[in-house]
Amino acid sequence: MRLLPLIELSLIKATPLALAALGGLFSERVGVVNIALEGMMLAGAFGAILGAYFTGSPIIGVIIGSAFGMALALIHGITSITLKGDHIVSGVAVNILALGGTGFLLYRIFGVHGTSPSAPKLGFIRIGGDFSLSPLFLLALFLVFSSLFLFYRTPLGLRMRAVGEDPEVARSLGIEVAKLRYLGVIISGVLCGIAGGELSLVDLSQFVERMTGGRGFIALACLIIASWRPGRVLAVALFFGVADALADSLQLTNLPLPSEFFLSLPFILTIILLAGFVPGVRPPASLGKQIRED
Amino acid sequence: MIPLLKRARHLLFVLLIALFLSGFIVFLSGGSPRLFFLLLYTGSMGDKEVFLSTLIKATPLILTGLSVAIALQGGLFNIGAEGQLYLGGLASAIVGGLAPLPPPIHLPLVLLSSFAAGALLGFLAGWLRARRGAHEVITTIMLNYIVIYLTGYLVRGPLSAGEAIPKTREIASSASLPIIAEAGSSQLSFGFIIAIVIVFLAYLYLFKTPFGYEVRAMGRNRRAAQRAGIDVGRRMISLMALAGGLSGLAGGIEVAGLHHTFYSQFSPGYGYDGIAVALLGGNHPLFVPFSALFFGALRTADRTLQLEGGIPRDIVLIVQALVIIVVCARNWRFFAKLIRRRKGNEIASSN
Amino acid sequence: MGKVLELRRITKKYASVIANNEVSIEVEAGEIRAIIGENGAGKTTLAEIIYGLRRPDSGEIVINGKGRNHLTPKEAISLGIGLIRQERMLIPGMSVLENIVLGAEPVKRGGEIDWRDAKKRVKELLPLLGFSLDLAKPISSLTPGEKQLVELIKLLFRGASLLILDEPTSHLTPNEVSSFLSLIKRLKEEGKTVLFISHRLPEVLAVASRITVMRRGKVVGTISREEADEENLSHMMMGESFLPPLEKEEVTPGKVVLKLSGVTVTAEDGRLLLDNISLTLREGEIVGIASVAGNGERELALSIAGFLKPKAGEIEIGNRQANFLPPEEIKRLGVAFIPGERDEEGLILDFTLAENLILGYHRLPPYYRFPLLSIRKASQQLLDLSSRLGIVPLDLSLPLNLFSGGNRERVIIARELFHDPCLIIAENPTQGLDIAGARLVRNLLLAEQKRGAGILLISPEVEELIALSDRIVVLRRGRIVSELKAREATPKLLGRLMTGGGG
Repeated sequence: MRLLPLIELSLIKATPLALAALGGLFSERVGVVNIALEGMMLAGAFGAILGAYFTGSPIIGVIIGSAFGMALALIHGITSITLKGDHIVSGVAVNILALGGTGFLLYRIFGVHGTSPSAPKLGFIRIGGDFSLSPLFLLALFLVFSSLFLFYRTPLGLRMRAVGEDPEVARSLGIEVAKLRYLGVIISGVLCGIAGGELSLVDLSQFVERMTGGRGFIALACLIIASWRPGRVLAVALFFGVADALADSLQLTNLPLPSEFFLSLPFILTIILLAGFVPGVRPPASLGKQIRED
Repeated sequence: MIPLLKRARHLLFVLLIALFLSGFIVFLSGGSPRLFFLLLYTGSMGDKEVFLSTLIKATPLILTGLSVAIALQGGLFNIGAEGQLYLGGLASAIVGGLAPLPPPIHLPLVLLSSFAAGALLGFLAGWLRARRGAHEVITTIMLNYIVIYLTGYLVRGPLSAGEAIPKTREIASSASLPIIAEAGSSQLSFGFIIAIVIVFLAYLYLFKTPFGYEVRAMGRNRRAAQRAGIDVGRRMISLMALAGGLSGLAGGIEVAGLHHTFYSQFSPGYGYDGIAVALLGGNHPLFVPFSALFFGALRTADRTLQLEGGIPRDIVLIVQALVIIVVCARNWRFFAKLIRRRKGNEIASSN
Repeated sequence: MGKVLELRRITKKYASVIANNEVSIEVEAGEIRAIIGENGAGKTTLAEIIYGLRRPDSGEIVINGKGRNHLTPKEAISLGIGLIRQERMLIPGMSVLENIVLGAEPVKRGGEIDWRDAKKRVKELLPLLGFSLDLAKPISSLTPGEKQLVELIKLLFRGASLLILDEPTSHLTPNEVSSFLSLIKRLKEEGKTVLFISHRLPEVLAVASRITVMRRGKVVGTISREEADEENLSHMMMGESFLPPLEKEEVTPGKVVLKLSGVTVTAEDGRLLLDNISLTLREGEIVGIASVAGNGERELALSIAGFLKPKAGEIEIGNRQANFLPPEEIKRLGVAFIPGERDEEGLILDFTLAENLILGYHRLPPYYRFPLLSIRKASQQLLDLSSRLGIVPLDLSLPLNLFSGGNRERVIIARELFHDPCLIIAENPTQGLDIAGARLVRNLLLAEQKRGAGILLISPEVEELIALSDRIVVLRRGRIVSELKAREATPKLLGRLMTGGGG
């Protein structure tokens, strides 16, 4: 087990988690619970392949992927913000819609079930000849810093935090709560869409049905474990990435453990971390609450 | 509590909107909505064989629907019905595969073991939530993946019947549910009756016992329930265990009444379907069977839809998603305002 | 100077009640105008309409000559209107400075918030208020009086010229009230216009130049300060007959029902919430707890009811040790708890009237006969109970969110008193009730006292404590600082004790 390939693999595994978790951060910081990270990622993965296949450019693929993610986010937003539906139920619906929608479109557009045709891959950035870094990881890093700047230094960020803490007070100060909530949700859609693009375009270059495999929920858990703080989110995502990479390498050695064991590890790890986290975790106070209008 | 008639009307209303939207989606993707609705009907109720198939598919949906519904009544989201179903199925296959026992003992044992397996999973999720604050949405989904991998491994390896497809041994005939109706390849088992009976038991539990009262109180205002002296933590755990047991039982009936064995991927998603079933039924036990019937019909018709209509089976999921969205939307006044504003503009511009 | 605000026939209806009924008012620039009325008269709704938090169904709002039929808070702020109300005005999770600038943040070139400029501008406003404030303190550590001042700074920071103050003194100690009233006068001298909404007549008479009276959504009339006195104002507020004063009888105390010895309760982070509390309450006694909100009165109620476990000391109910009993057990000992946060803690709004009336007692007869819960069999009893307390509408199957606030309080009281408790913990029982409703509740408590119950009364209204209690215990920072007979207490004295002397 050499160090450099391990770090490479860890970053590859951590990037979609980090991007999706950061997406979830924007949504939940304005008070909209978003369990549809999984669905938005899946939609993004599909959109990315769609874009890359038809235009030949993986970058356009990622952009289309983010658009798909944004579309689903918009549905979640309309259902939970404007139609005042329960946030979690709405998220469940979006996840199911993503599952059905991607399968449906896969058949209608490509005429196949299960796996899409290949599309051009998104390349890596090579550092020092031996080490490949996904450009999307750099994006995640950039997002951590820009979200910190946004939330603590700009008026928009202050207002978004206020909406997430107490939308009634925010409303009484003339802040348009619904608009800011939509903004947070849409950003989460874009980021999750990009995370999906990472999955389908970086390693695999194909779309496989249900390829997100629960990562969106692990990303959500990352968000919770990280107490909704951007820097910590990246750290927790990296931790999962390392754990994932280690499990992969372990699998290659000749341990008498079935492959299913290794596949279950991230989920077991998530439960353990969620169950063991320290009290004092504080979600945005108005998470999930509806605003009174008139 | 909304009067039952009003709730029935609401259910119908939601169904109509969801069907309309699905037809629209079929239209958008180049298909024929007319064909879609026609095939939906013939594929699920056109003859006795498909009708029985609809009932067969509705059976586990009734139970997973109840599972999700009673949990939601208590304010808990049981997304883990799928995993509970799997574990219940496996447990009943194991117990059913034991040396034959007299049917009055073997069959109840099989069903009980499936209930217990599902209840164990539910208990775990409930405990994690009540005592550790780990939100059950995430933990139940995690458990789903873990259980599906675990059972997948077990039927591939230690519990395998040694055949090409990963599955367990056939269960003994003393462990099988009797067939109550047959047509063509569809065999409806007694499990359907069991599911209906449980519907009534669930109704009694929820609305006629103090435990059900506490569950409903906790689901609507947890703080007030606590102040009233209700032990919310304990209620949560027992509620999740009960919900898990119901889904586990669904798996048990699938094994004992239909497949007579447990195999990898043996559920096309009945556990997740249960979410849409519960929500369409307004989380009310008496309406869950009707909702289950609808989704059972969808599932039965999907083969016809695919073969004769070129509509991929994913449409089932799309319909589910639309149903859930329509059900959870609360702010119908929004549409009224939209119409009023449109009319207002008309009046203004005509001046 | 002219009219700064005019309301023309403002009407606002809710499902069961008309909150504002063709309200028309004219406010002159630079005046202090009081709007008075009892709870439920529609004053708060009106304030919210002027500020844009609610839309009227019909009517016009004319500000500085320009008329419109509704506002948004954003527009109101830009027109120089500011609102202070009791709840929902400050965000606990953010600092004082963040709360002040939220929505009106000064920005540097480049889009960043200019915190330095914000601090400077806030400091310039402080002298007017005659108060100093640590801007970095979290909101949760401020007293209600300090929070009030922060809200005022918020308004002035945005350059408000029309200040709407909705019941601004309800959580202030008597001394804070007088400084607040002087502050209002100073603001008027600065050229501000003030709408002072209150139901407290002495305060209104101290500052207002004109007084508008509202009753049941309608404006009864507007009179000048010279023409007004407490008697005619009360008459205008309440309409028909004057209610006779409360009849409190002399009751001889009986056995001890509640005894606290050295009770100490700490928070999770180690903070002392209750410090060495010793208290005795007997049958037939009403003990009032006087404190500024947040000084331990809530924790006192919760620990006796069994929701907070003491770290030290003993709680005895009857002669049973109750420290470690769960709340349900304590209930069975005959303890009734009327929680202050009515809708959040005492009721389940989605449940029916019947279901709410049995809440907490659902495992006891006559509702519960193993294993079934039968509300139907008990329905006659529940109907009798409801009509005795004047709960309206008398429909057991109606969900509680269709009942008014006053009726909801009656439901809680009906439920808790039904089982003849020996100890009643009443937290703010008359909060938000109109005069008739408050009167009913107070008489019920006195009747319970006569029946032989011991009552622990927690209330922010010192007048209510003095009128109802036999003894008053003053709590400050979780400690008992004084205990005195009710007839020896005056509002000023209690106010001084509650804040530690000097106000």
